[in-house]
Amino acid sequence: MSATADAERVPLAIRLFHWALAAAFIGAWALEADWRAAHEWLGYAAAALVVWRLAYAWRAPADWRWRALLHPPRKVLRHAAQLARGRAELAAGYNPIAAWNVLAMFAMLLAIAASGWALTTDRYWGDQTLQALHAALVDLMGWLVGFHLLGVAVGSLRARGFLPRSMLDGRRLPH
Amino acid sequence: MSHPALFLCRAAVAAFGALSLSTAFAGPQCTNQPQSAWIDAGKFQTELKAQGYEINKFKITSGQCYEIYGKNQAGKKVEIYFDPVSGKIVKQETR
Repeated sequence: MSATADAERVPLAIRLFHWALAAAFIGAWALEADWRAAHEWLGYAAAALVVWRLAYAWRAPADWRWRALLHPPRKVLRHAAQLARGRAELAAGYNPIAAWNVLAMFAMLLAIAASGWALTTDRYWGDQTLQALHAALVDLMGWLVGFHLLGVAVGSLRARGFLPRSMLDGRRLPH
Repeated sequence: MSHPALFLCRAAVAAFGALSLSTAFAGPQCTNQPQSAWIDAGKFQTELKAQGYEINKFKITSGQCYEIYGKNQAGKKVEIYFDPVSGKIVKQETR
């Protein structure tokens, strides 16, 4: 395989990160009621994965760096407007909407983990306000995940292919 | 339309639905008896304290339980759901 073909692929680290993060979040959510220890550790694992990803944004290949993740709001609006008119360019990296979607999910996971940790301390043990906040953040995260999947669906239509495959074999489709 | 994107739309809807259920921290169901049959809440807490429990939070859950957050005799943080009629522990989380 040539170096260029390699560079065009989603790095294996990103793919593993993506699925590990999804598994940690879904696992923590599913085990909330009956397996509290696992719930907590999966929550911390998710936070650790996010921290790793943010650090990796300084060293990753160009399409996964901070520069690719941070888009000014006017670019988001322009992309949305172009998308609505069916005129947005096909590109393989994060589009401005996807990038903010991803960053919002990262922020949410960190906030969920932080509030979850606080709930284990003496001070907030059983604190109803913080419990409600923790649950509300998880709810918001659910909407962000839903929006992410919706974006993947729209991208799949635009790319005329099955976008999630790129998170498995790394072969990217402009969308 | 049998496009793979349709599958993703369905997954998105499922994710919305499933996660919206998470708001209600689901606890166990403890009794079906009316509140008139329950042990008096104040007396119940006094009794628990006499047994050596430290109570930080006390509440009546949507599943008709008395629930406490506090510490057990060993000083470990506990969350316990009690049947408010029999006073028996229905579910316990220790930390």
